[in-house]
Amino acid sequence: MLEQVKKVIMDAISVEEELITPQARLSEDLGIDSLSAVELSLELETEFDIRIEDEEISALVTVQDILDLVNSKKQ
Amino acid sequence: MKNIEIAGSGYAVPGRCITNHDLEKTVDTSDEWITARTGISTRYVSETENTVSLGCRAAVNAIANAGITPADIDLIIVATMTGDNLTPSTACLIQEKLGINSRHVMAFDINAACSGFIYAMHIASAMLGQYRCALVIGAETLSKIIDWTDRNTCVLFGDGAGAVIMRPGEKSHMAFYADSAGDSSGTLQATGPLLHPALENCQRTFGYLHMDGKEVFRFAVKAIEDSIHHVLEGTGVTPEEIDLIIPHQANIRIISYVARKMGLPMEKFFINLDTFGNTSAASIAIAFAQAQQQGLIRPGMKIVLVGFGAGFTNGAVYIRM
Repeated sequence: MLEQVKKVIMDAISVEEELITPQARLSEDLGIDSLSAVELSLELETEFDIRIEDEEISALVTVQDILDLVNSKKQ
Repeated sequence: MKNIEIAGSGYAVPGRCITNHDLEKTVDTSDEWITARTGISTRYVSETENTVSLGCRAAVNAIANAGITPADIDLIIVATMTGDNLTPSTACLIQEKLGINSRHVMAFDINAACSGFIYAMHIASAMLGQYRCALVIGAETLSKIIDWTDRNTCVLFGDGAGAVIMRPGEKSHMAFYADSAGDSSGTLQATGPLLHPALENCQRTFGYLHMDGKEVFRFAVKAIEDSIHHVLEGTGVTPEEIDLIIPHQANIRIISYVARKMGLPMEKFFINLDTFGNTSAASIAIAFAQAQQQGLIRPGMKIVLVGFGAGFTNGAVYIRM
């Protein structure tokens, strides 16, 4: 799952792979702003065939939060 | 496909240029923030002109560029959501300013928000045949409906107008696509002054433009891709074969996302939102006229104009020049 999410993040925004760890903070460490987060959620929706709401995007802080969100949606 | 040509184009913007640094002085924002999130550096805002004036100046430029006279025009369609009056229409007042009141002319406005110019070209194409020469204008004075204390919206928009002359012509072909999906959730809206006073909780004041940027982004990127695919259906042309795509100039992030998603180079997309911001129904018209002035539109080229906006509305025009 982490590898798949890593790939989506790298495709959606230009960020080096080694920076993408579960603990990495989206805004502070990866430089993901509000619009990048929307872009990322669109990519995640396509990749995992899920729907992510705006409120859920706003609540994401770390890469682990993305993993948890995708996991909960896939169940 | 229809045998219609664009005989000429023109645009006009008001005199006052507002930079991101100017906006830093009035709202809590920064040049860096605006540029990174929108791609916009400047926008032109009216101090003395209204929508009729801007639309008329764009029309005069398009008429001159086409090498015709106002008397040749028998159809005027203006796409706007910021007309100067509820009635008379912007189109009728531009007809008067062009001095063709005594001619046989059909003139009217349409409102499809930022897709307005695409819708207006589509309507004109259906009417050409019965009419000989259409003046199609996108004109907005958005500064009238912007809350200049709202940093989320005031940085995005500008005023301006663009116009084209459309007429039957064997040399070029066009195909059209338009769609709408009613949305009353307030994602992108400016409430009007027309609510009946008897209605409960009726707001009598004119509302400012409100936008949920994230939701609009979601809609926009899908609308652009869908519109391009639909308009090319039946033309035998693929997106890769298009020489120039002129999208509605809302936000560079929307355009670059679509480019990446469709696997198309950014060089295919004409961009002038850095200079003019989002001018709603005027944006594609201004961009087309500017691209033509810069010599980027040449005979034989394959071009797509694509718009999306409140409503929701979206649409595209394919032109084989």
